[in-house]
Amino acid sequence: MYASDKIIAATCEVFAMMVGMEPTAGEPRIERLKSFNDSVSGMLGLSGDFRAMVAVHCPSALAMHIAGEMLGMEITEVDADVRDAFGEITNMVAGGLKTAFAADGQSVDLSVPTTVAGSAYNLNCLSRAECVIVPFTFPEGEILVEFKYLANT
Amino acid sequence: MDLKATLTKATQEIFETMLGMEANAGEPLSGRINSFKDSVTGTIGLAGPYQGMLAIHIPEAVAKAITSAFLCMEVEEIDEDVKDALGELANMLGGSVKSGLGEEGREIKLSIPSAICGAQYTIDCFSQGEGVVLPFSVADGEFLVECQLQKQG
Repeated sequence: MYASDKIIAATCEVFAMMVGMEPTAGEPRIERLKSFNDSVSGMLGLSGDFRAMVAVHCPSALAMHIAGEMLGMEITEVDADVRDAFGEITNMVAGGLKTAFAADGQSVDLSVPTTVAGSAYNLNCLSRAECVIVPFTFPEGEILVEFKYLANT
Repeated sequence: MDLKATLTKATQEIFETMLGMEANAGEPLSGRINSFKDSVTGTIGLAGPYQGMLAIHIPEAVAKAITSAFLCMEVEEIDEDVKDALGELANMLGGSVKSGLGEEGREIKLSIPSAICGAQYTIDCFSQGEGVVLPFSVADGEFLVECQLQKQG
């Protein structure tokens, strides 16, 4: 599936490097994610030879755990530190994808990351965009990395 | 680059030509607002020599009125149409801001847009550059247009 190998390599590398965690990648799937409860989503746009966005979706409890590992402290709420950590993680995953696409001769630049968090929110993308989702399992839970793209600009 | 003037002109032009709505600009806010209730946010990433994001944050009632005007049909709930319309609005704003910034804007590339909605959510943006948040009012209520831009370091 398009980009799923790149997503797996980039995501595993970021978690190993940033938090010393080794998630297990699940089967990539084509599915439209919509609704999230008590979650954090890091988002970042890519543009160049193609237009895309990458998002890292994480349940709040796991997000606090991951941010706590990154910062070496206990975190008990989805505060600015957690949202900042997910912006940074998304930025690094996107950076890994950019490098992997460059190796295939496709050049893209990155936007700045944004982080959405909340008790109940929906996240939608252009319905005409293609979508790949890869789940990653940690002992403490699961995150989803989503990559949406338009084949041609 | 005059982000405020560019954003004001881009928003007013799009609302007038695409929606037949007059949007009155207020004074720029002194900082970001990151917490939203019963709202819809259309957002798009900006990449290239300037990195950033552009977002339009709209309360649900106003989002329904805007989408109704956009699609020339009555919209009763926050459905796919509303989210796609707000994504497209962010896309058009991005294109318009890009051309409005002249020489410097020409190199800015747009990612694909996304829409976020929900009863309660936060959006944080990790940009070190210039940012402007402008309130606008239309007959149906108020909304915010935000642009964050930093020179690629």
